[in-house]
Amino acid sequence: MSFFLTQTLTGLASASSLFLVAAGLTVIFGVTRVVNFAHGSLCMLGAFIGWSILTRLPRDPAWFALGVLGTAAATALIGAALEIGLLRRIYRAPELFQLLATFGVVLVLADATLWLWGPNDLPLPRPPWLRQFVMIAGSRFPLFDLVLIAIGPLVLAGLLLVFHRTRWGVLVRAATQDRDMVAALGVDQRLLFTSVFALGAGLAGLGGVLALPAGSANLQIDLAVITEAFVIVVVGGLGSIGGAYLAAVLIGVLQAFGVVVLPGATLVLVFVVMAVVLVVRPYGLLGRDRGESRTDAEAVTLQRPAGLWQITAAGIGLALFLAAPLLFGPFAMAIATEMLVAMLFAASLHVMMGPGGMPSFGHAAWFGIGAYGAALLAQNLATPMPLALAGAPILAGLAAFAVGAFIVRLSGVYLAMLTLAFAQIVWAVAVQFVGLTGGDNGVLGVWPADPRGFYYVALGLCVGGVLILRRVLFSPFGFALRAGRDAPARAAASGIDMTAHRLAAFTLSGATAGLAGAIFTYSKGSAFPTYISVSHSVDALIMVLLGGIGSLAGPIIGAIAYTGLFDLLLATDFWRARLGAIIIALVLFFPAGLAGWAERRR
Amino acid sequence: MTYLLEASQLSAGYGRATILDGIALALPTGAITALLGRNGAGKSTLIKTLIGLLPPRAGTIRFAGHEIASLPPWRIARLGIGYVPEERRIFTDLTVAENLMVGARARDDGRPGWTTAQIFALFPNLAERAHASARQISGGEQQMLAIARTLMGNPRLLLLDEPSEGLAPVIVDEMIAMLRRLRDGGITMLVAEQNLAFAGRLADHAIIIETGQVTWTGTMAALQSAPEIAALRLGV
Ligand SMILES: Nc1ncnc2c1ncn2[C@@H]1O[C@H](COP(=O)(O)OP(=O)(O)OP(=O)(O)O)[C@@H](O)[C@H]1O
Ligand SMILES: [Mg+2]
Repeated sequence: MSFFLTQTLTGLASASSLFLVAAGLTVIFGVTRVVNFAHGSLCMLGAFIGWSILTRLPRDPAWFALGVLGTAAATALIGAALEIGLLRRIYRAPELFQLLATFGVVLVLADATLWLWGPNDLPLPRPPWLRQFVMIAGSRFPLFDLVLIAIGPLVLAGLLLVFHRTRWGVLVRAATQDRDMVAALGVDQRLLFTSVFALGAGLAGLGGVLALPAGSANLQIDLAVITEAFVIVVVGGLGSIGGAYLAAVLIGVLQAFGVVVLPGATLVLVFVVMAVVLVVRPYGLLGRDRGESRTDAEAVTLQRPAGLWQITAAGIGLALFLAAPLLFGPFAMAIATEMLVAMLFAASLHVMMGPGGMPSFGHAAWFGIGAYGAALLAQNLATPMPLALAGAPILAGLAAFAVGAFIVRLSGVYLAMLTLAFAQIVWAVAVQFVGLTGGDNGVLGVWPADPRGFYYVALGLCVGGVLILRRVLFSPFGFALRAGRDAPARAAASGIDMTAHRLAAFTLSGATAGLAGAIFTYSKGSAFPTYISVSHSVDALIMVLLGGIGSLAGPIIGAIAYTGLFDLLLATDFWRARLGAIIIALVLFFPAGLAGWAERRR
Repeated sequence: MTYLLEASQLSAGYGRATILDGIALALPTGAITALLGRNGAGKSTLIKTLIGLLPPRAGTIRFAGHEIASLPPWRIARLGIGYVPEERRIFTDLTVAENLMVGARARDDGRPGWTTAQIFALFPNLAERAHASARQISGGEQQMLAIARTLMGNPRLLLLDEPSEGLAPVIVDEMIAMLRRLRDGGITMLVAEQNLAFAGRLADHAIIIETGQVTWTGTMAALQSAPEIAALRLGV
């Protein structure tokens, strides 16, 4: 009994900080329709700023409270600056570009934090009052956790009060439903958006600083928190604050029990819950279908067959790749392989996202399944390389088929979130099932017998794979897929089974990504969990959007440009900040991608 | 005659499609002008362009001495233009009273404007449902709420897009009486309509648009005394 009670209380305490961050994210999304990837970074800034403030203040509860509020105010100001400086310029851009821009902010803030506070974890020295315990049902329970438990519902009540009892709150709720109508009634949206963003950022900072006593300010907070916040917001229903609290409690309590009952599988548990909720209630616990606020249709131009200049460019490119090992030696061969793999990976994502109209935040899942599939086949079953290379895409394709069967009906942000969830499950399996996957150490020693021979195999598979995808996209299947994306009602009326088409595209895309993963494993001689990380999924997104989502040439150019850029930047200090700045600049100045830009210039 | 709003050479559209192609129009101050045209002629498009929800591609719009063609909707609204959309676009997540609160804005000239009490006197049905969710009120009440919400911003010009659509005849009668009273109180109106009978009972002037251009303007009386014009241009 007392175990049950204390675990529940522990869960409620962590639910409070989860809720604070998620509430900010959901309010921002509701009004601005921007999925703010940088929300975790604002939480991280809250932790660091809070550390700097609190370590300088007297160590008693009153000063602590003051420092916490000061931190929230500081992050709110940073949020406002972010909104005015960047987001305001891209509200009309397609959703994925906004996401990409906010990911650029993640990178910049990560390096800014590293530069300002250094690489070490900064724990908060805990004065006696923070170390006090109370006796609950015969066991010791941290006093501060009780405070946290109270803060969640208090903030929830405060927010509900503001949203229902003030004119500003009513405007925010109205704008969450129909922001254009609010503008047509004479409300200055800029003020509204900036203030909402500031509120959301302030809540994120509050969540960050309140988590300090139980942890530390560290550089991993940003991505860890954003993933959890995404889950909570989606489970609760996008834009719903009450839903966010319910979901935070659900996830917090689940984690608290999961840690004790299934210690190896907490991450998996969380994402399984998310998947189950979304399959049963596609718009989350308290969410409702708000319709798409706008479509990405404008960014997507019609697929056109390659023109002369494209064929020429492709020919020159192919010749360079063929000659690379002979002309430039082993180092060039390694980079060229990376580019080829990236090209296939990005092209596979393009199939899903462009013609398929299914955005994915978790494309690395299929890559990872292919990579680990090949590595484990080779290591555990002594499978020869050709068979392992053939088996990997089959495994990834089967997984994509199984997952896709549940989720291809969903659209937009929800689909993207579910793909992210699945990728996180795969990642968690790779990290936590140490016996099979080697955990963080990965699977090692999967080398091809003849490196140069393998290079040509990789070249053949990647170029061949892309050509096959191209062929498929220009087949009747590809046209039906695009017809379904552009005019679902009309496509359905003309007898196209859209779900089957989308599922087929999803499976094909997953299988191809799996092949890319398998090739990558052999080229690196190993498979690591990082292949499945959020940032690898984002890499693929960047490549596709960098090149332009309108044609298959886009992801290819994007992959080559991005890999080259990445290798150049990796050699520099603060490469993340540079990369982030480049991403932001690209979104601001080349919203149609590099290929789209070249197209327009001609 | 003085004109509260004058537009010339106005063009607008969606994507590659051009819907308005060099529109010129003038709205007489203090009168109700009907905007007529067939299905898909671009009536709603014109109204969205005037309120700024659809930025015009070319042309000028002068309203009460201001050039508003490139302004964002909220600035246009603040200059004194109220918009009642075809789909009504009530905030169904809010209560009736909260919907009014979104529209409420003090008059720039400091004179007293519409109060909630006055609005409720004008729309007694809404007064009864003030704290009901706007999702739960009837279609007629939603239309009244859409108009009431806009009035709370004290507009000088009201743009109404098919206000009679889907309403029962008694409610339509009430609405005509109410709109004429608002006009007598000094509010100028542009009312997009497909229903010529309704327009005839309501409006003082009429504008007909076809294929992206204004093809006829005149008084409502003149339009009604020449049925062949309506037959030719509106297909009625
Ligand atoms: N958001 C949009 N995107 C693309 N085309 C649109 C859009 N809205 C309207 N159109 C097209 O613009 C044209 C004019 O539409 P509009 O709604 O302005 O006509 P209308 O005169 O108001 O018609 P109705 O009497 O049916 O209300 C139509 O051909 C319509 O299909
Ligand atoms: Mg219309």
